[in-house]
Amino acid sequence: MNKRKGVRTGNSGTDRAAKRPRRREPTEHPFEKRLRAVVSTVDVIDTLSAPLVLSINNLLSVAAASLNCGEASVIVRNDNDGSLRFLCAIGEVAHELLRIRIPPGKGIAGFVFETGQPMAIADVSRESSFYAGVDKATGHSTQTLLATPLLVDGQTIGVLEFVNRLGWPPYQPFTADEMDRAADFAAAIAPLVAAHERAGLLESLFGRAMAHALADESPQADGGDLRQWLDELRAAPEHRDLLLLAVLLRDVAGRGGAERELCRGVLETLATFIKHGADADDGHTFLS
Amino acid sequence: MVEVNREPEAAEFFADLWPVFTSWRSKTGRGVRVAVIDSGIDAEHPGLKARVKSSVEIFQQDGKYNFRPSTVGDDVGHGTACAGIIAQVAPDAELHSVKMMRGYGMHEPYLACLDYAVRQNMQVINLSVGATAKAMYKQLHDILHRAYRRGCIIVAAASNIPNDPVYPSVLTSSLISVVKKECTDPLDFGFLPRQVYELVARGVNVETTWPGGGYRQVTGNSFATPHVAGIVARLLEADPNLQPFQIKTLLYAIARQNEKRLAAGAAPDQR
Repeated sequence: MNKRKGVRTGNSGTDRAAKRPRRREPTEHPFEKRLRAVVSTVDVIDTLSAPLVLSINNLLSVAAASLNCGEASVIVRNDNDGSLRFLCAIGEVAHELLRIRIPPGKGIAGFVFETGQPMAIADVSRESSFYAGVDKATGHSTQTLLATPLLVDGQTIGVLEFVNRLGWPPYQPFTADEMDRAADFAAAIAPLVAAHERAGLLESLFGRAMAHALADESPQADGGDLRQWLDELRAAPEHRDLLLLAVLLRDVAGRGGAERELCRGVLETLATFIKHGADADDGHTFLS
Repeated sequence: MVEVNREPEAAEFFADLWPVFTSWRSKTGRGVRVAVIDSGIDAEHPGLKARVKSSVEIFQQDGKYNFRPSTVGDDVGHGTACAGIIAQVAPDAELHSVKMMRGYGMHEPYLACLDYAVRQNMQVINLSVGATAKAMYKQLHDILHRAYRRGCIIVAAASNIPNDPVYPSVLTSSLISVVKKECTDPLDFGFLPRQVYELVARGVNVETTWPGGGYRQVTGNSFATPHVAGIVARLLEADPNLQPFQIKTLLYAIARQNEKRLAAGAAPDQR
């Protein structure tokens, strides 16, 4: 036996294990650990909800085409204050619609949401607008409208709305047959909307967890300022940069669906570019 | 030929209803109180001026629901549209607006509005709005039953969507449930045998009043309902003592008459 302290020779498993260099256990900052868990969970939530939004948008496009309609949207309840918001929209003013909130108890969509009764309305007097609230916000003129509730287990969870026709006014009113078809599309879209709203609930839960993590006042968190802590983090630069990137992405993506989509688009484009660059392998990196 | 010979038998059989059956088309609903439980009515609309006799809105105070005079009109359009249709069918009927409290899940105010209209002895209640909460089933059933016993005729819109009923139209036969059809005659309605919804009336591309003085074309069961409400107002002008059961009997007879006339190629009489 080798008399050097702590060293044993021989062919036993214990001996082999003893010869392996001892790994240093990584000392993970508690804040870092929580942040990593929350960021990964947010990614999971996004993975759940993004395909649903895409599916809803696709169905919305098919429904609008079927009804020869210029614009269509899915409206859901904003749980915080009882107002309604546009979950998905297609058409000229889709981007503006996604920012709009319909106050509680206002508008045709709100009425359909509360009563569960579909209705179709056409402006025959050729007045400039009769749907004042949303039209004012978008600068758009509603001439003809069809709204039908999204029902799941007998409960209204949203409204499917079709506005105007393709082409130029005057627009033909929506027919009774189109109202029935709209109800069929609503029946297909409703489960997707319900699933998306459930994913949104999970997201809000983990959002609160993240807020709690960011508000940590323990000494190790250096007063709770995330970025300051990251700057002071004694870790490999790549590790720190990745965490900073995750925080930046979270900030941008948290502003809304459009921003999230933009982030995804930019990163996917970047990834594709890098991949093609690597395939070409001209000895230069993308960033040089 | 056969039908003419049968008329004396029919007249005897329907002794108390025959005068109404033969005269309702010349009526205008004069003096009949029709409540519109909805989003309110724009009483300043030229098509409705002087027809809206009262407007109330529900509000909540100390945990209870009360009613007060309303001056805010209609910020949706649905109620004004329904009122306009009633005014077209029964131009001299008295319209009484009961403006609901808006907001998701507001089933208690809905029940309170219905209860209020019944207690105010409204002869006809137009209920083009519904609710889907099964939790209110018992309370709603109680109110509808009380309305029936007081002789109040409730006309309710059906839902377009099968398997997802909108109460109270499917709740009980003590009210009249209506679905839409496409036709041009406001007095043309039909009977749907062995179905949950009993009557089908004009409710497609109906031109009617809209808040702000304008007019819109509207489609939906919501807008078939006031056609029947207006017709009921005409029946009640002919005989204010008609009970709900008699009203339904008359509506059935008129619906059958409409079918026969259409089958014979003649349009139902215009008013």
